[in-house]
Formats: sequence, structure tokens, C-alpha cells
Amino acid sequence: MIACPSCGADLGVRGTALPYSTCGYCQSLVVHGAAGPEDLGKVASLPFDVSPLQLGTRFRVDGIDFLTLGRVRWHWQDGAWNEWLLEAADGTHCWLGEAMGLFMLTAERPDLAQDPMIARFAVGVEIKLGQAMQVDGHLLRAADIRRAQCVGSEGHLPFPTLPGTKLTNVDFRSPDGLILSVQRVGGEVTAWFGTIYEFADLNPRNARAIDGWTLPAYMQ
Amino acid sequence: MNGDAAKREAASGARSVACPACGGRIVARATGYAVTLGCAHCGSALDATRPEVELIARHKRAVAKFPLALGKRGYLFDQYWDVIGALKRKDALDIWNEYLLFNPYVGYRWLVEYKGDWQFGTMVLDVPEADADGIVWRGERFTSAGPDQQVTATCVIGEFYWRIKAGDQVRCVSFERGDVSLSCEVTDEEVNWTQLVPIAAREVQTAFAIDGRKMPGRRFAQQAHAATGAADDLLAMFAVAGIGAFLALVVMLLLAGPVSRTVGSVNAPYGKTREGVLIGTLEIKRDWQLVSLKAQGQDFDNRWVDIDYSLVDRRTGQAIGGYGLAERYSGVDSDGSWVEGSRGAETLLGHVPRGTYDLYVDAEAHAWPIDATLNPDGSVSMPPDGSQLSTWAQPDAITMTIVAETGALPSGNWWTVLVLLLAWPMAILWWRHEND
Amino acid sequence: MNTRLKIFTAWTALLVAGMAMASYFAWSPYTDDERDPGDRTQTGPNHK
Repeated sequence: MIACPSCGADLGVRGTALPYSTCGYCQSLVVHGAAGPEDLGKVASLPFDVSPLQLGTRFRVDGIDFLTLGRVRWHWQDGAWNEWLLEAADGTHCWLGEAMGLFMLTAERPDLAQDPMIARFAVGVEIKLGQAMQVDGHLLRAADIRRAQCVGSEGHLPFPTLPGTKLTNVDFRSPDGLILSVQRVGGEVTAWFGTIYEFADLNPRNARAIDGWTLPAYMQ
Repeated sequence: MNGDAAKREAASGARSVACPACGGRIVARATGYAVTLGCAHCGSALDATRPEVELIARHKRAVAKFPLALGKRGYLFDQYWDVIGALKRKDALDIWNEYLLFNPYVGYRWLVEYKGDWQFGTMVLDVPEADADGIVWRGERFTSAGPDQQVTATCVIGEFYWRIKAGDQVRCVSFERGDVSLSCEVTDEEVNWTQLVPIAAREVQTAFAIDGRKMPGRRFAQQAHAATGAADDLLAMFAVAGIGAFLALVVMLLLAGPVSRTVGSVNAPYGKTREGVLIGTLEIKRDWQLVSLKAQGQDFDNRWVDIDYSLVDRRTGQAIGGYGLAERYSGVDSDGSWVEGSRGAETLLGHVPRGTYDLYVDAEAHAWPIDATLNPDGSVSMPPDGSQLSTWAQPDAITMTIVAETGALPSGNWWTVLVLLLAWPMAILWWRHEND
Repeated sequence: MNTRLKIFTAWTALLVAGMAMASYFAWSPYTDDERDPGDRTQTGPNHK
């Protein structure tokens, strides 16, 4: 058990190599340094939403099992969305973006960060709507550009989520439902590639019970 | 807010806010997803992306009634759905309702009600491929369902996961394969495809327990855009046509009079014209009136009479002319005896200006098939009368009684109006009959 | 009141207004004009 350095509460199961945790009780952001857990300050508590996910929700997609470890909520001018951090059975991390009742499961593609357009994006040259990217033979076009701010987090995460943390997210989409998310947090640019799913297609288990709704048996 | 407060709010499953425009209570069900709230009380558009909802556009109008109320839950396609948003949308021809359905474990769906026909819509993530003949989606060809339309949202209530307000426009184009259609909506920012499958009105009514009296009536034809109205307005149309015909009749009667009348007669000789016989005097007492001229003869057969009328304005000497023809024929053939024509003639003169008029008549009679001949001895030899086959002489002229009246009714106008009024509902009635 | 009924009511109003205009000016498409000599192409019965 890892205890919160601020209030002593259990910080829960920590995934591999996730340096940041949010305490569910006192909203402290904790960094797991060489000298042990250290309190970095308070993060905003997450506003209520009707997301069917919670920390601990499991998924099985294409034979791979995933466990939900953390969440960041981002706010932009036209709304807010959740990014859930999933850890695959082999220890790699994926993001599950949640928007419009749909779920974008993406895995990191470090090779794409070498792409000239993305490399320029890393140093501040913005991507324009409609710009094309070729990924594994699929043509994707920039369909959605959002400048967002962190409005809260929970669980374990790879980066600090103090209030005001800024994200620029560019979604590239293909006609057949593939998605590439290029994210710039601080100066760091990462590229995430994957597919859009409906919730049930992710074979969820331990989904969140939402008051007023019956949690389908196969999601329990 | 501390964690306990957040958990208490979470337990409610929905959050409620007060409309900043009218103060009415708005319940948001897809909490955290909603971007726009349309107040169900005043129609104002609110920004739901911040903890305190902000007014985007204030409205004070009465919000349109939807047969399917916000907040209703129904079971369709093996899932429960909450109705969280409702839209009225229109194109150049029609207006219809769309409902946004939500289930947190499934996502969003659409229920579209177009003149009593319902469709269940699912957003399509694998976009169809277009070619010259239409589109191909999941290996199946869909053909165009008509030209693209500009679609405007006219009423927006409830919660939506994108920015929308009354007056927003999209271009919409539809493709069909059997009874499944794919609808594509294009805005400046994005292109959205939706798959629409038909669903029986009864199923929707049962699923959401809609009061039968609130269920919209079915349209009378299947053509999506060829039909231009609901079925239940036909009686109202006939009523409107009836009122219109009555008003037209009243207007015609009120504007026709007053009547001035004169009667006289003229002897129409055979083969030559009797000219300038004064019948009488007429007074036009309105700015303009119609004048009816009736000529009636007695006991002639196989003859025709030409009558030329001249209405001469006493003040200006200007003449208005008219022409009447009375003709009557009879005979016997293999089918028996026959009679044709009439010994009377009616003439209607329109747009006769105010004034006092003398009516003069020129008249001439003819026999059929040949006119009378002048014998060398000066007597007139008449052709045989077809009905009597006798050679006894008929009178050498036909006396026509002339009745002239001002303030005549343009009854032809009224019948024309009646036909033009009834053509529309009758065509619909016929069409409905053909399509049943 | 739907769009179709609205259009039809407007159409009815238009016809009644047209009727009023025609009645005031004593105009009708069914009036008989002065004799045109070329008008009468045939005399006698149409019976065969």
C-alpha cells in the first residue's frame, strides 16, 4: 500500500512507471520520486458526470486485457471530455478518450513523433484542419483541434495534472473509423493511434453503476 | 466541493439547474457530456460546459410541444433510452421532429419523426464511399434520395453534446437502400453520417408510453419529400375551401348590383340585316358593371338568327358591341328524330363603365341548309321546313324578344374559383385513395 | 396548422381577393366580345 503523504489515505493500485497519483480523499497530487511519495499540491475535484467508467474498470479488446488506472478531464471552449489511462496486460499504457458517447482507444506510436509535421507541432507550429497523415497505409485528416485545460484528475497518471495544465489535442480521422490523437502537454508531444468504439464493443467489466440506470449484467 | 458532496450529487444521477433567462428548472441527464442546454420553458440556449450555466441566446417564446416529452424513458432495440433533447427542424418543404436519446452504457441515438413515420438513427463511424451513382457502405450500394437540402433547427430544447441553437443550419443529403437510409449532414466544421432504420409508430408509442392522442398522424404517402403535409388537414382544407367559396359568392353579389332592365323586340328578316332597332335604355350605376343580353325567339326551326348589339353611351356616343346567335335545327334520321340548338341566345358584356346607354340591335335570320331565294316575280320562296317538310310559307321574319339587364352576375368567375379551390383537396383525396 | 394548410389558406384568400377585383371591375373571362367575322366557321347542326 502507498499512503498519501498529505492525509495518509491509500492511493490504490499503482501501475508500472506511472509517476503521478491523485489522492481520492484530499485531492493531493502526489509524485512518486526516489525519495518516496511527495505532495505537489491540490488538484480540482472532478465534477460529476455520467461516464460508465470508473477506476478499476476492465476491458478486453482483440484478446488484450486492460485495466483503468487513471483519468484526466479536459475542458475546452466547446465542452469537456475524459481521457482514461488504461494499462494493458503487458504493462503498456493506452488512452481511452471519451466523447459524444463514443470511445477512442489509442496506443502510443513513438515512431510517428518523428513525422516532420508532428515534429514541427512539438516546437509550436500548429496543425491546420484537413492536413493529412499517412499511418500504416491509412490516410487520416486533421478533423478536430482543441486547446484544453485540465479540470481535474483521479488515479495514476504519467504527467502532473495541476490546475491550468494545458493540452493541445489534434485528432486525425480516417473514413473507416481510425483515429490519431496528437497531444502536446507542456513541450512534450505524443502520438496515439487507434480505433473508435462504442462502450459495449470494449467488453467492459466492473463498469460504474450510475444511479437511475441498471448496469447491464455483462458489464458488472 | 468536497468528495462527499460530489458523491451525493453522483447519487442523483442527474443534475438540475435554473434557467438564467426564465428561472425554470432544467434537468440535465447526460451530465458531463452536455454542451448546449435548450430551456424547455422559454427556449433560451444555454452553455452547459461550465459549472454555472451561461446564457447564449435568450428567447421568450412559448416552446413548441413535442409528442415525446423530455425525460421520458423507453425500451427500444434491446436498450433503455432517455429522451434528453428534442429538435424541430425544417427544410424548404417540411418541418419535423428529432429526439436525442441517451443511455450512459450505450451512448447516443436519434429518433426522427417525420409526419407520423419514425426512424431510429445511429451515428456511422465508417464513412461511406461516394461514387458517381451514389454511395457504397459496408459493401452495399445506396442511391440518392433527392437533392441536398438546407435544414434549419427551429426549436431546440434539452441537452446536446455539441453547440446548437435555434436557427442553426446544416446541409443534408440522404441515400436509400430499401427502407434503410443514410443521412449526411455537413457544417463548416464537420461531416456526420447517420444510419436510419424505420421503426413502427406503435412500437415507439408503446416504448415511451405516449398518449395515443398525442401521436402524430401518419402521412398519406410514402414519398419522403413528395408529400407536403399531414393527413389530418384535409377536412380543414375543405372547410377553408367552403368558406372561401361562400366569401367569393358574397363579394360577387355585393359588387354586381344595382339592376336596371329594359325589354324590347326586333324582327329579323331572312337573308338581310335589319339595322339599328332601338330596344331601350340602360343605366350603369356603378363604376363598372356587367350587362346581360338575352334574345329569345318563338317557333322557328332549321333557322339561325344573328344579333349584333350596340350599347351606345349617350354622353360620348361611344358604342360597346356584342354578338348573339340563336340557332335551332331538327330532323329525322335512321335513329329517329333529333333536335339541336336553342331558340334563345345569351350574351354577357363585361367592364361597361358608368353611364346611360341606348341599346341598338341589328338582326338577320337565315334558313338551313339554304337561304330563301328571291323569285323573279318578287315573291320569296322559302326552303322546306325540316320538321314539317311542307312548302307553306313561314313568316318572312323571326321576332326576337330582347331582355337587357345591368348588374349581371359573372357566375362563370365563381365556378372557376370553386374549381381552383377544390382542385387541391380533391387531388389529395384522390392521391390518398390511390396510395391506400 | 401545418405548412400545407397555411399555403392553401393563402391561396383561398388570393382567389377571394381576385374575385373581389374581378367583380369590382366587372371583368370575366366568360364575356362575349364583338362579332369577329372569321369567328363563325360553320352554320347548321352538328348532327350526323
